[in-house]
Amino acid sequence: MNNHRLRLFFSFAILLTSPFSFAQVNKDAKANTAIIDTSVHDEAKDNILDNIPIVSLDENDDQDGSAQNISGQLNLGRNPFLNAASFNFNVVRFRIRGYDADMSSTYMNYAPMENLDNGFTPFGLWGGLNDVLRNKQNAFGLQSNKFGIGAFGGSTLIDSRASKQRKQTSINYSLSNRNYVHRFGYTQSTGFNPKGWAFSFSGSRRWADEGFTDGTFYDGWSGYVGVDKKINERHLLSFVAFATPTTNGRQGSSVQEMLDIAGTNFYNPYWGYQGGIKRNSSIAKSFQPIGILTHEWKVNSTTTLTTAVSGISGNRSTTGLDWYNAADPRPDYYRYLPSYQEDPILAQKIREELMNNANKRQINWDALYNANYGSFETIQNANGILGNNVSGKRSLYIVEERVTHTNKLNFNTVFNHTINKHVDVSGGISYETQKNNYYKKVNDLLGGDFYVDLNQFAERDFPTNPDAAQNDVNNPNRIIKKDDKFGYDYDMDIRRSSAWVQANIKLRGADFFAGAENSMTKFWRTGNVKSGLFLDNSYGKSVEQKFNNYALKAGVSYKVAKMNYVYLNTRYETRAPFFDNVYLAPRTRDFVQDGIKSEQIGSVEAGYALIAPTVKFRATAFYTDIKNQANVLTFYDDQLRTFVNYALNNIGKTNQGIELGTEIIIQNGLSANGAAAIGKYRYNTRQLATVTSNNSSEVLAQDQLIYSKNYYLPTPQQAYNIGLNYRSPKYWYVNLNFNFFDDMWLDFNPLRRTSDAVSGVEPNSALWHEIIDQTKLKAQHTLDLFAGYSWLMNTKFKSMGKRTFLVFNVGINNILNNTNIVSGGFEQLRFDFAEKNIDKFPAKKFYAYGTNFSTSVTLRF
Amino acid sequence: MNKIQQLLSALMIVLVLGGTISCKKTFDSPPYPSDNVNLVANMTIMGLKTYHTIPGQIDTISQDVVISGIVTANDQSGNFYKQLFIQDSTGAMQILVDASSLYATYPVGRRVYLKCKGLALSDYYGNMQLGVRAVVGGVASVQGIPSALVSQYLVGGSLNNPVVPITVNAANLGSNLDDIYINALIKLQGYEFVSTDTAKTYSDTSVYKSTQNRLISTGCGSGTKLTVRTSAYANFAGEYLPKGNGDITAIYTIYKSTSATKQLIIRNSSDVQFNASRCGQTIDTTPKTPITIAELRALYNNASVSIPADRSISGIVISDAVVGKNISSNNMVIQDGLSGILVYLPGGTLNYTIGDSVSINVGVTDSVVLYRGSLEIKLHSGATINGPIATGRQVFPRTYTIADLKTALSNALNTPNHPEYTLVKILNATATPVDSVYGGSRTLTDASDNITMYTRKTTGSPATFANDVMPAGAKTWTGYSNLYNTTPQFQIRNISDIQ
Repeated sequence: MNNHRLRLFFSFAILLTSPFSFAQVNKDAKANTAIIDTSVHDEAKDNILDNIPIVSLDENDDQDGSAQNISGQLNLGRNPFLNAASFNFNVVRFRIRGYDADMSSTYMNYAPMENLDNGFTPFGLWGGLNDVLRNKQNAFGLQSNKFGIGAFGGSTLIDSRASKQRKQTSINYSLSNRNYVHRFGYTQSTGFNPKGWAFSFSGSRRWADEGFTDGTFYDGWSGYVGVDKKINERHLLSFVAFATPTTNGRQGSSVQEMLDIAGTNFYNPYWGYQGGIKRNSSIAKSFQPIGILTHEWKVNSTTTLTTAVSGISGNRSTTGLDWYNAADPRPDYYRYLPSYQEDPILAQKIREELMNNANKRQINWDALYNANYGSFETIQNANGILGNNVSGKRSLYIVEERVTHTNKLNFNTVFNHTINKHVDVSGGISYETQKNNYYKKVNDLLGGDFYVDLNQFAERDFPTNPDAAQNDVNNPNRIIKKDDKFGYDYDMDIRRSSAWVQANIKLRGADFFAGAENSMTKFWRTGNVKSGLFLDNSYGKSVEQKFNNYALKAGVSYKVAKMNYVYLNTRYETRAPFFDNVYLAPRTRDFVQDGIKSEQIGSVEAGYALIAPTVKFRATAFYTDIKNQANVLTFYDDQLRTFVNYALNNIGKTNQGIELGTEIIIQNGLSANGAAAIGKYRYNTRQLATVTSNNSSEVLAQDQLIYSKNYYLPTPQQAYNIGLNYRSPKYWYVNLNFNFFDDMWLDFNPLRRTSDAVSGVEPNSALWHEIIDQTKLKAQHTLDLFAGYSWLMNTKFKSMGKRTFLVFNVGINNILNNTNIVSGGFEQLRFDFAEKNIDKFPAKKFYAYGTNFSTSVTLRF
Repeated sequence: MNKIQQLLSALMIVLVLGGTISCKKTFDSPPYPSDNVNLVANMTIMGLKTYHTIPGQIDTISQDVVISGIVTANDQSGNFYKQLFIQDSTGAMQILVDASSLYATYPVGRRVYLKCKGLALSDYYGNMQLGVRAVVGGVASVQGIPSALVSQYLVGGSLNNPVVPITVNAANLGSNLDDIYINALIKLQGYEFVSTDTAKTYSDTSVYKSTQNRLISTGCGSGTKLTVRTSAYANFAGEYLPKGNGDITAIYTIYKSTSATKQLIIRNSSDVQFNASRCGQTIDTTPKTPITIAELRALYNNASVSIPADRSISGIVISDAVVGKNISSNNMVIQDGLSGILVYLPGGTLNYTIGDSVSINVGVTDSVVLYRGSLEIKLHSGATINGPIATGRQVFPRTYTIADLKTALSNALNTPNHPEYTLVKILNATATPVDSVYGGSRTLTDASDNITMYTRKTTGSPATFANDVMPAGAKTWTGYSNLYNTTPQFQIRNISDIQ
């Protein structure tokens, strides 16, 4: 079946279900009341989402949550569209409405959870604690909610308070072949005791000696404690604390040439054998415990005031190789690949060597140690002391650890007041603070005695200026050993205060809401070392960036007929730019983008919903316009032999499309579901790039025009799902889903969309199109199966006092074992301007896992 | 809890503990490299050379030939590029490898084994090379072994084997393809750079980066000269040639077009040990007692004072006679610890630059004098200056506000740690008048005070940047200061002093 036909089929299938379902409305509704515990199915999916693949997008990836996908974390709920979007579409990194992760907001127990530096929600900080995170309130899209002003992509309030947990004990073990293999979980919640105390504990361990991808491993512990004290009928005081110390070996992306040589799309360049054991060079570690204190005060029968204070403190880090005046140790460096050779015979020899010798495709740790063993050197004036000469093995290769230490302290209070049966108002104020300290330290000297805190790029570029090469002129020529900081060391401080108010009006047949928020954001950088290259701009506190912003939202829903609704919602806001998108190169200096201003975002959505006993159908159309966004991209430029920063501004996007979702009860426990997201998520401006390098203050290009208009955002513009679900009265279910994705595009390299890139190339020639056209990825499909059984053991073991369930689940994703699903990718931020050869720095792609499974057994009583 | 529940809980706990134990990973450090590599050399380097006898031909080796040798030279200083030199007792070989930073894997002194089957021998103008045959643009040649293939051919053995150059008489250096000394590390004794070259640097420091030839001979009018050839990419390219006589260690190569040129390529500048007096010159053998600059300055007591006999002063040059040239040709400024002084050599030329370490023999014919408000060492004409003994030595500036600097300059000249002629740094200072050039007396102002900033614009020998426009706005300035008569003044060395 070709793609066009397939698309039509899906669209029709979904649309046709509506009239079909009307016929079903009056049928016997008993089938719908099959007594199976519906949460069993959701739990199975939770477990799978907790274990979705994480591929590192780039070497310098040190942002929270960037490897995570927001859509996967939304409440599955009973909304058939959301259910598909968050679960079945995850395989291709589907992003709802094409939005970045910064377009949604998340609260836990009324404390705001997003990072202030990039707007992402750090879901990983409560990974593995699914058992106590199932209570959620969800407002999708521009809908209103009563806990915050919301966001464009929707907002979620997770309620993990002890008294909100179901009173039970559950023990769970699951086995899968994804990021981790084993998961063991234990959760116990007491409910309120007669003295008004409620307790909840949850813990899990997730681990794998080796995950789905070679050389990866996973070791995650999770622990949660919740205590509630009902002081009296008016006051409830809650405290939760949780932590998820996690270590995992990461998977890196590579070029197609290397994937072809390796013969697998799951080639991982990050590892190599050391002493017969696979050692991963890129190990992510995270330990950031969170505590939240929540006070819920029922002031009177119509007013509630809920206040939360939350704190997060801890480290997140990623390791990687660093090298000083030595050859690139990465096995897939382009000069080591056959395509680098001009002589075809030599190229073939190299190809054979790499194909026949798996170790050649991996890091050669022994060679790195040997290079360090043979590197004897004397450092003069070490540590800045004249005449202090230090001799020994100066490491040429090390493993460095890039660390982010985060401290967050948030205060948030929300009031809800019902004025009369038609009107209620909500509002709140919050103050959020975040301080991140970024630095790197030596993780392993790989057999050497020391490393020196010098900038080799500056050393080469400014040979006559001995200061220039100093990463810290206050501590020149510093000898560094294991765990010593080096390179860069700076703080990011962000403060945000906001106040919001919203009114909901409910009339017969129509509901209205309107809300507004005002916020103030400020941030600054503080350098803890003084770079020899930027003596005046690297050390101490920078100028504060301040922004004053507002948001407005309003909506109406109207009951057209019984069970038939139409709705229209809109939102406009100005949003402070994120720290990450403002500073050109915060590791070395406090320079910011020119003319930084707030983003302006406007969105409108309109839809129709049918909510009948045997059919749910919802169609929503949306249009969002985003103006004045900024972004900073950093990459290593081979020609300039230094890190180059591409500061982009004037980024505009139009995200528009329709979303369809339906669920139809057919009969006797059999139901069908369908979902579709058909959109156009595109850039709508020509972006401006200012190019600087990490190692000089020289501006390499000012306001370079990027011809980016009408390029696509890298998420499938079309995604479809159709499924069948059977729930047996005998407490088992089975669920089969077919998914189809099309109109997927590779993230593009702005350098290739400049007049420089095509200068000298015949316009509209094949080469011209090769250079500037965006790469379209092949349409893809997957088939997923879930099944489960919930056994009430008391039926067999009459002696059991408590109702005890043993629940079995199995989920098989990508049953067709389609290993060619490009789930995402990007063009390298480099371009061969001289020869216009787009294959010199080819795109890097990620592939979705082949057939993968998860099985679990849970004992619950 | 009943038994079944207990049993199941226990089972799961066992599972999780099992996982805990199996998940521990510890990594051993690999052992130091050794010669235990399962390879035995079955041929000498001289034996290998017999595969290539016709100049210009490319001879691919099809037999299982294994040779072994010790690395004598690599790309560490940048004077060689993508080349390794190995040597055994019978001869030496140049290996072409298409990779950078070879020195990391193949440091000098490492034993290597070469599996030659599949490699190709040829020669570059008579100088033998081992690499791979490659056809680039339709032309066959011997190219570097691609880095992905290096380990197929080249196996590293033990580290830190002794590397002893072969001491040889220049007359024995041959030019046949199989000459034992070609590509070998050799040592010649009793050589010096010819007098027409002694004022030069090892190589080209201009942007053209062209490789330079310098000549050595045994001196005293000897007509036999050898070439010392140095890449402009060598990290010692900008160093001045030593003026004395002594031993030179180098890789011997030839370049044969119509006639054969014998070339020496050094690995770094310490391969040239020309520390003795030039041929025909007598040597002052009297032992010298070191005297510090601080001690010299303390000698001064408001009147010129002669230096005691047989002393030597050591210091690091902080003035720049090469790039910025903001100093008279017979002056230099040296610093030792926190004391500095101006050196004056009447009728001489002091071609030293920032970071050169020098030692000067002084005695009763030399004196510490007050010259226009500052202290200087006035040497006797023809005084011996040794060095640079080392180059690239770093002096760390002291940071002053202008007000503090002026106060410190006004102290008695024999005050310990007097800032006169030491390296100082002034932060956030603005140069005025705005938009004017450096040449002449300008004003440098920071939050505390202002000071005269002087740059030579003397006709004939101005500072190279005298006619550049000064930058606007607050900058960080590095340089040295002194009193000119009674006026405090500050001088930068070159425009790299401004940040």
